[in-house]
Amino acid sequence: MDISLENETLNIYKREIETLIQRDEKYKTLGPTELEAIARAFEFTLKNGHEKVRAQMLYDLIHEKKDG
Amino acid sequence: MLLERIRLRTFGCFQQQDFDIHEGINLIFGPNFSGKSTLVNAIFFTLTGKPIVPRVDAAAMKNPKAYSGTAGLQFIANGERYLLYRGTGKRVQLRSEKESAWDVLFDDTRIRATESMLQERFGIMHEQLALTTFLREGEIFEFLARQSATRRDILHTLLGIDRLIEVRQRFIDTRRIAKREQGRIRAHQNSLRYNPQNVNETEIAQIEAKLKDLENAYGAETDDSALIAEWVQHRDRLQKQVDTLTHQQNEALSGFNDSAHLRQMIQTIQKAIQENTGLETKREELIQQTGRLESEIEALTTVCNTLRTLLESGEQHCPTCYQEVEREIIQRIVDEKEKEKSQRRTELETHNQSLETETKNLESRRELEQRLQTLQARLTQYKQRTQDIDKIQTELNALSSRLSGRGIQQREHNPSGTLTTLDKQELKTEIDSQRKRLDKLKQEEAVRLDRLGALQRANSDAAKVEKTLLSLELACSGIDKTIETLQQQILKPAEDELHHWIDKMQLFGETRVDLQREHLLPSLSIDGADRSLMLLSGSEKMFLYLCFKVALARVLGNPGFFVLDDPTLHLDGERKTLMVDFIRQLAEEYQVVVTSYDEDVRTGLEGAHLIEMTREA
Repeated sequence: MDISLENETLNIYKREIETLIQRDEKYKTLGPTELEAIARAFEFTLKNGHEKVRAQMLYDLIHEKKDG
Repeated sequence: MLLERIRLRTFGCFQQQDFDIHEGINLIFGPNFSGKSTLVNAIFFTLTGKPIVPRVDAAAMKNPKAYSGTAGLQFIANGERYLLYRGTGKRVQLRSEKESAWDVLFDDTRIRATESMLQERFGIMHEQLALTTFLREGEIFEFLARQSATRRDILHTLLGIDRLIEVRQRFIDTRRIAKREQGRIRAHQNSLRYNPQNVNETEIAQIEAKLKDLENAYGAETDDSALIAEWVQHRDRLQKQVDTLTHQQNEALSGFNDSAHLRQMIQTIQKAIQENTGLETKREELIQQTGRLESEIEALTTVCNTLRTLLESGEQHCPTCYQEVEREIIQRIVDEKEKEKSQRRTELETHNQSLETETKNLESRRELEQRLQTLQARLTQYKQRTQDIDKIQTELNALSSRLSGRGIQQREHNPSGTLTTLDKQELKTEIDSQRKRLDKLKQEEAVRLDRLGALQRANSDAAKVEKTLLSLELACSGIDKTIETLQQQILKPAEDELHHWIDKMQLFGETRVDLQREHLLPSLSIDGADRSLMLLSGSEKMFLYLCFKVALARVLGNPGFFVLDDPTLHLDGERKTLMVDFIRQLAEEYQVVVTSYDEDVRTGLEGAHLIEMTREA
């Protein structure tokens, strides 16, 4: 995936999760911090490849809101 | 990317040979087994490291007599000339031309490193190149025969969706971790079994107070117990005295609200007594007057009796004074005396009444005086008791203060009530017992508080992990939505492009194409009716597939050339012409490499760069 498609994909992803939060009541408890952590985890995995990114790293990213 | 030359070393049927490629159309023309497909394969292999025919080992592409084979491709990309060599032994070398010399930019045998280098430098990926640039013999039938899942995989690879699916899989793995964590926290929450009621706190406070008393008492006992005991006894004695005096004080004030009330009563009585001070004199005077009146009455009675006796005796002369008795005068005197006597009696009665009243008043006053004396005595007693109480209380306070200094409280505040009587051993036992109880309660309290804290932390962790699970669910749903959107965003233009080429080639009537329904396999609706691809003729399939390839090349990107291996195979004359037109139109925008051994094609593509192949080559 080239960088432009990667960036486009990331933008689409951010838009999609924002739309899901607005549409689905069950996601209302999630705030901007969680949204940012999800997007960061997505970007981190997309750019580094799933082979290099362990599930525990993603858990820490989202659960602890750590930086990637 | 503009292809310039194919260089082969012990590759396929070629020992060592170069083939120049020009801009526009390049026709590789030759009979079967002349090496046309080997050239196509060489281009594909150099760029991807794989044979163009699937499931063929790369090593099989070398010259059978050689240890290994090498295919090379000279091309221009991004304004620079490159030479890419790839050996069947996996070695890859990339050179770039610098001032008429070739600099080695890359030299590696690792497949991944090579793939990354080619993708980063030239955007080359195997699947994309296979689908958007090359048309090999029989490819269309293989594509149609592919399983839906396989086509979906190809589509996902082309759109980069496979990466998104991998990311989603990672999120699912992460969700498993979160689920495990949630289970662990729930088990922890259940294990805490917290009792929110604090039953120990009050009891601890009571025992601590009691223990303090006991320990103080124990300390006092161990220092000078005899003295303390004496003080306590004295204090008790004094307290008893105070109690007795207070009782007497209360008795002195019996019938009165307080001492002021008593004083007020005394003053009132004194005033009343003062008002009646002349009663005795008055009474004495009355008594004297009464006596005088009684004497006068008695004298008058005697006179009257004497005169009456004289009158009644008939004597002519008085026996005492021998004066002639004048009866009328004597009678008149008797009458006057009787009258006077009557007046005196009346006066006497009045005086007697007054005397009686005054006597009563006097008695009342005397009663008041007695009452006054009593009250004054009670007031004096009250004052005396008050002074005594104050005095004893001062001493009691000092003693209590001394005892308090030694840790001995008032008897009524002492929970055990027997502190002073407890001997040291009993005190020690009691203290030890209370301490044990206190330690146990404190331990229980500490455990309770620890559990409370742990439970609060566990609740917080549970809420947090719940949020993480929700975040991961959103993350996965977001990827699904992104895949849908990406497919729509990329495949919709591809559908439009396909329409454009179908219309341009005038292949069918009114056509609608859907690339999403069947995972990249075009779903056709011709003149309003769904049309199965399987029912199209071979030529229709070929043209549709070529149009599809060009459409994908437009949307997904293409290195800038097409390689079509014998595209007119099985086409009739009319369709061959159509294909030649198609290639010419394609060549307006792309470099095209075509293999064929069809004279009609050679004629149709007149003016194209011709690479003639022979079996001897």
